[in-house]
Amino acid sequence: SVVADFLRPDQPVLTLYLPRGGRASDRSYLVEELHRLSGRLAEISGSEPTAADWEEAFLAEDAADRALAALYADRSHLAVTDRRFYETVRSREYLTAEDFVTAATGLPHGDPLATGVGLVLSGIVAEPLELFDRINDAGGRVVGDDLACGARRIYPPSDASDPFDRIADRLLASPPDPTRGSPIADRVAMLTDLMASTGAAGLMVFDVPFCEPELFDVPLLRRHLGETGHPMLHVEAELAGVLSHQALTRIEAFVETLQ
Amino acid sequence: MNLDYLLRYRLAGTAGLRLQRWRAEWKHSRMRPDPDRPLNPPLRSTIRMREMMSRHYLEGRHVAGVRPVAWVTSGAPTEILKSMGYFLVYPENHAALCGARRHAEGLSVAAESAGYSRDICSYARTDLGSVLTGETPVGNLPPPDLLLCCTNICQTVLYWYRVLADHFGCPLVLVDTPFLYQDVAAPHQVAFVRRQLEEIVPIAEAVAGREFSEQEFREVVGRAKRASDLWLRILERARHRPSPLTAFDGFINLGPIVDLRGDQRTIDFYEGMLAELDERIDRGIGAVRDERHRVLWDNLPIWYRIGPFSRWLAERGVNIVASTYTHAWGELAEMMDPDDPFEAMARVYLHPILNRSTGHKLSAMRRMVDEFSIDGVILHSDRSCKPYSLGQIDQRDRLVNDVGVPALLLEADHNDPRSFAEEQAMVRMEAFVEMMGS
Repeated sequence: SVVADFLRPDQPVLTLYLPRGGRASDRSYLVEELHRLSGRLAEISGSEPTAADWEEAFLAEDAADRALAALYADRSHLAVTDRRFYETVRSREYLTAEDFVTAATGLPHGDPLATGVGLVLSGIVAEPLELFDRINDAGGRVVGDDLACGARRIYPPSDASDPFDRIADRLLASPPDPTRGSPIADRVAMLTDLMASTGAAGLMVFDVPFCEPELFDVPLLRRHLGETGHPMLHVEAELAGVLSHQALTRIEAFVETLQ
Repeated sequence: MNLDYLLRYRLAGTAGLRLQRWRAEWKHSRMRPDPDRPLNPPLRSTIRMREMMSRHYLEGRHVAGVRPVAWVTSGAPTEILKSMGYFLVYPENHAALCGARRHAEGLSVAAESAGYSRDICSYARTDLGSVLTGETPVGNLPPPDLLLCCTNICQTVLYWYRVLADHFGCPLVLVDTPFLYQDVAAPHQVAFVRRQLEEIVPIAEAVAGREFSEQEFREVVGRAKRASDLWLRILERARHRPSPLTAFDGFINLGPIVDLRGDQRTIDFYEGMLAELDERIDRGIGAVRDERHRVLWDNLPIWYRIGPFSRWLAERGVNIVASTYTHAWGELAEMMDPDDPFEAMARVYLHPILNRSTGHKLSAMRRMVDEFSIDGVILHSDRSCKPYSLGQIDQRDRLVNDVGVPALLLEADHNDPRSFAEEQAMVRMEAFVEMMGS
């Protein structure tokens, strides 16, 4: 709103409001909202996609989504550092679908380069990437995540024939996410399963300050996961270039307690 | 009928409150304008408002098991629940009351001790602190049988109410209102909200054990419309010079239109308040004895400083005559339509100022500067309320450069006094007042 009303760039400012539920009414609304966005894009580009265009785009994006899911499924067999793994995961945000598939399938297989006690990482974004180096240096390795820029973007495929239904289905079926109002119980259940399946010793929630969707969940995650014997560390760090020594010390101490 | 409810609330409680009101009204009748005081005697109506709200919270202490209880957000479409006999608790109003009575800091600390970040909304921290400790200045709050959360005031309420749902183990009903970047809601947005309103009904029926009546719903909507219209007319009386009320009167007397919207007593109360204001206008009585400057307030009030601010400003001849916050509960009255309640309420609950663009808020402020003969604007940059505060820098710049009024960006927090630097704030306020005078 600030961009559109006050900054007023030369480019049109387009918006998409994702509904906060998974009800039939949310789905109907999202389909209409996607139609609206598509209409605006068609106006701006002067081009209306054909059925073949849609199919080609879906084939490419579904392949990229599968490659992302495969990355996560294969991570214990990839001979890469945690940092390299997440650089590749994050490239899904800016590479074309085809280029991402190339990048994801091009990672070397073998024993993971990072060893040590397993951690699950949660939060919105895990930056700076130096974070992963410091976790490895401290004797830990990331075995799974619940990051908004990571595993929460593994959208399941949809076999709906209508393109807008297909996009809506994928978005609404994505993993639990507090930014979309997912019930806390769903997130706790998902994390509990993830910790069990990966053998993780602890959960690190890595948040930026003032991020309310995450901050409201933290005490409940700590309590519910504590009931199942999973220790949790909550670290807040600015999206700056360098990790603060305060954050580093806490991460090192946490990994030490898990060893 | 529950005996505790009958004896302690219906009989003894309401009688006691009525006695308190008579005593306060008698004291008020003996007040005379004092040339040494910057403010004229307060509105007599506020005494009745205090009785109404005290009675509401008193009922809350005894209502569990007598009426179904719902905790609701301040922008929620409560008319459906009200028509089904629900007792409504507004955690935001309760938090504001805690803020005004200086209890909020302690409750926030309790929430923070339980792991809730100091960076989350101070209303939420106050409420969660109260829920976790059981402490409240109103005695006790009845636990909810149902939670109703509407995102038209912010997304924070969704995260907050998810925590309440986890704590209380009761159903959480969500009314998700898409943000309006454009002037008017699109058909698919209205349809989405309307459908969600209709979806409230079966859940509310199951919890209450009572059937929804469209007729009763229409009647409640009709009363809500009348009360909202009265509230808007009350606020618009501040266009007069001198204004018979201040925005602080608005903040304090907001309770009924928020918490008791849809009740006949709310209509009766605001009719009385409007008559009192008209009497003041006829007699040339302003709220501030020597009104020299008229100010618009943007954002929530600073609850723990209402009294001191009001006096400080009045001493300098400044009357805050209007606020975007209080207007929010009146400006949509014309949209309410009891003849087509679901469709109309879907539009109403999509269009509150906080669910609309930053450009719309600027337009609203520009209009209010003109309509209320404003000499300056205070934009409260509220640490806890990001949606209300985002865009204020740009709005402020345009008010100064395009409209030509002094505009102060005042950093504080609506409920947490730890985020208010008194010295700094008052120095800036002093400079702002001087600017209006020059």
